[in-house]
Amino acid sequence: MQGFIKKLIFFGLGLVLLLGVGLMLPAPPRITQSMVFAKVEKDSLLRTVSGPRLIVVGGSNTAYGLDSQMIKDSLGINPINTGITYELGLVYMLEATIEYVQAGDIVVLSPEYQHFFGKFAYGREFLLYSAFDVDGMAPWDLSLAHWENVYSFFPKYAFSRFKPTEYLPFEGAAINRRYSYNEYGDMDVHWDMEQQTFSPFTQISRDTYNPEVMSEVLAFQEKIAAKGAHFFVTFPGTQKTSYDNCEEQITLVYDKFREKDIALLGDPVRYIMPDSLMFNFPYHMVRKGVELRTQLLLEDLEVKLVALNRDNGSTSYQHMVVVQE
Amino acid sequence: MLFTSLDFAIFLPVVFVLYWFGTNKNLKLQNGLIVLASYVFYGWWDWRFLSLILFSSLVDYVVGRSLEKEEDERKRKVLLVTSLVVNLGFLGFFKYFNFFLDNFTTAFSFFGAEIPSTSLNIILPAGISFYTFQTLSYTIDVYKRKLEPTRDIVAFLAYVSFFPQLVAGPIERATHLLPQFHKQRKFDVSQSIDGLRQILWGLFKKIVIADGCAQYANDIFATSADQSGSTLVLGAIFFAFQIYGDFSGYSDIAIGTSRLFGFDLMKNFAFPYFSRDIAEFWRRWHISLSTWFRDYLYIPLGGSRGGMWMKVRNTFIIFLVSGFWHGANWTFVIWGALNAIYFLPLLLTKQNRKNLETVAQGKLIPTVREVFQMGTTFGLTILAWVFFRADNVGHALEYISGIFTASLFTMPTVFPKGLFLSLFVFLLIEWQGREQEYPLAKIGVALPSVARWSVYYALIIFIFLAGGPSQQFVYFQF
Repeated sequence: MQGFIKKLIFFGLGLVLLLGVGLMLPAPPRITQSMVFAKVEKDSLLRTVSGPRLIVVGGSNTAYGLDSQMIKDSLGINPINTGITYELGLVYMLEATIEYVQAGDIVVLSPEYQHFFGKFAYGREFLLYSAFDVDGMAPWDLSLAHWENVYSFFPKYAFSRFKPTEYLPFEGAAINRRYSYNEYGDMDVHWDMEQQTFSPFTQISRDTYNPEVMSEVLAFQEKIAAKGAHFFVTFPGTQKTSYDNCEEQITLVYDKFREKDIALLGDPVRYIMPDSLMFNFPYHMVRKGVELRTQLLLEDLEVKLVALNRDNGSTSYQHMVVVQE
Repeated sequence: MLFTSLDFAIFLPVVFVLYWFGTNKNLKLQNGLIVLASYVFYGWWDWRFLSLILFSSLVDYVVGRSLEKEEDERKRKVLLVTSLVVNLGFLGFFKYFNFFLDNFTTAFSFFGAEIPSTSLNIILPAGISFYTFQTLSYTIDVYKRKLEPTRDIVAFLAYVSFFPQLVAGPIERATHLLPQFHKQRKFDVSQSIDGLRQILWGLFKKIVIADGCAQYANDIFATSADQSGSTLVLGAIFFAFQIYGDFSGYSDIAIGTSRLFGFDLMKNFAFPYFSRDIAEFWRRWHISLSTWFRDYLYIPLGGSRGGMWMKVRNTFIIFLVSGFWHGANWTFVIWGALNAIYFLPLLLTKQNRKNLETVAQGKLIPTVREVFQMGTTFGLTILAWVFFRADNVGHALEYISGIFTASLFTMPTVFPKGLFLSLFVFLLIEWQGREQEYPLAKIGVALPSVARWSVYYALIIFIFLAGGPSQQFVYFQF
């Protein structure tokens, strides 16, 4: 028995050693060319783009769902689309954005509904790549709540360094790559691609509503206000079939938002997108869908900004933003 | 508790240490620990349903003891019927109540009679079909005087709830497993290492093969109306490997885990996709259920004795019941019927026991004829799996008619190269090990320890890298 236990311990130590080696090796080329690394460019935009700015925070619903040029042309402010994937988790997205927010910025949060159920907001596999490889964080920099959610992906993350294909160049379609985004951070390479077959959501989540996530949003709102910026929440452009399948859970999230003192841009029903305008996921749109969603957002935003402007005694929202700068 | 969860990764070593270091000197205590661990394992999912297992176990324990004392055949029959009614009653209520209610309502409305009905929101207790059959085997064997009833209630509770195989089998016979709870177990290093190796292989099957295939199979079945014929074929093949990897992977983990505790469970899968005809397939697929139905249903009905119509009737009954056992949906019944139709010609022409030995025994490469036979059997199986996987009969028919279109000869829209590579490696390993208990069984003997450990590490790394998104075990729903 003792021999057996010893062998088990040695075997386990060997595994730990392999994990450690994996963790210390640099990110292989394929990862550095993947969409997770687009955060490098997006962070650079957050650092360098001058005001007036509109920062959109969310997952792939914003990456695949906005035409920032339309926003710039319409509002005359500089948009920054920070969206990459919802697998980073809403909490990490908020933490990663707040340090770059400046006075006068307009921050629009467009969270996928999944974040509000269970522990989804604390990230999944991609969080590890983003936190360790892009941000250079150490394992202990992630909170326990994050680890609780992503520990099961950690071996895969560490062992990915030993995968030969990670050292080969990408093949196939150019979506979801580091350089698939335009100068504002919008994923635009798919705009002229054909619609792909995908499954609609049958439910948003099997888990229950998690009020902690709303607290995180409220805390973020407070930090934004403290920096002298403005905060709004909008809703993802969602495939009609998926919306119909998940109406109850989506409405629940909307109701929870309405209960709070948060400025909302439209409502989930307004952002329902026809199935024909979707690309490869219930939150991803083809060009026409992107334009429709952006147009709706612009309309909602203009109403709010004019109101804000009126409160501040300015005659145009553009002026208001500039004044605050 | 899922075998692939962190919870189980903590639970197993804790129970192992307590079992061999804390309770190993006292058999009753050791069996008690198994009962406790098994109830924790099951209760982790939903503790409320522990009462069902406990109640079923107590009823069968009492019935067994009463059968021992009772000599009057009529009273013995009453006792047996009591056990059948209680166990099958629970199973029927939790699994089939809504199905029968819906079908009765539909049938009456067809004749113009509207019956108000409300489906109940019934949660199906995990593994109810498995432990019900396991406990029934005890009562039936005691009734038939094939087995001495146990007087050790702790051993009996442990037999019914033994955690490695509680939720998805193998469905153990009391004649095989129960006596093992009456004997002192001794720790055996080679048996334990072998158990760990089988667990590793089971995890590979579940995480790499089953979960990897599941994501594509789920997508293709969900969007079948929009898919080309070739993609639909691929979807059905992916499901065939998903269900095999999922279920046989579970069995491997269950058998391996049992070995760690000194128990021997029956083999549940014997490389079924290398079968040359459907009869051989059914001797190799879910062996514990097939033999259960053979011994407790088919043979009592007369088996393959008697005239042609008797054979036809019995074959259909066993396959239809087997289909219905899997779930309360007509798709499972049709799946069973299809298999009966495949099987009958072999039975009626007495060809059903032709391929008893392993294919290409002692050889590396099969003959062209064997390849053709295996391909045909696999093709027939896949067609039946479509019914098994589809949401309803209409969906299955639409799926199959979608296959037989001109688009069958186009390239599939889905072509996951990594998964194909995993499947190729998997089939290669299964093929080389098809004459063993499980494919990695001989790897420990053949290689020096450094090479052996390297293989294990490589397999573990491969599991993490190539594993698909985590999925529930398919057979939990049965």
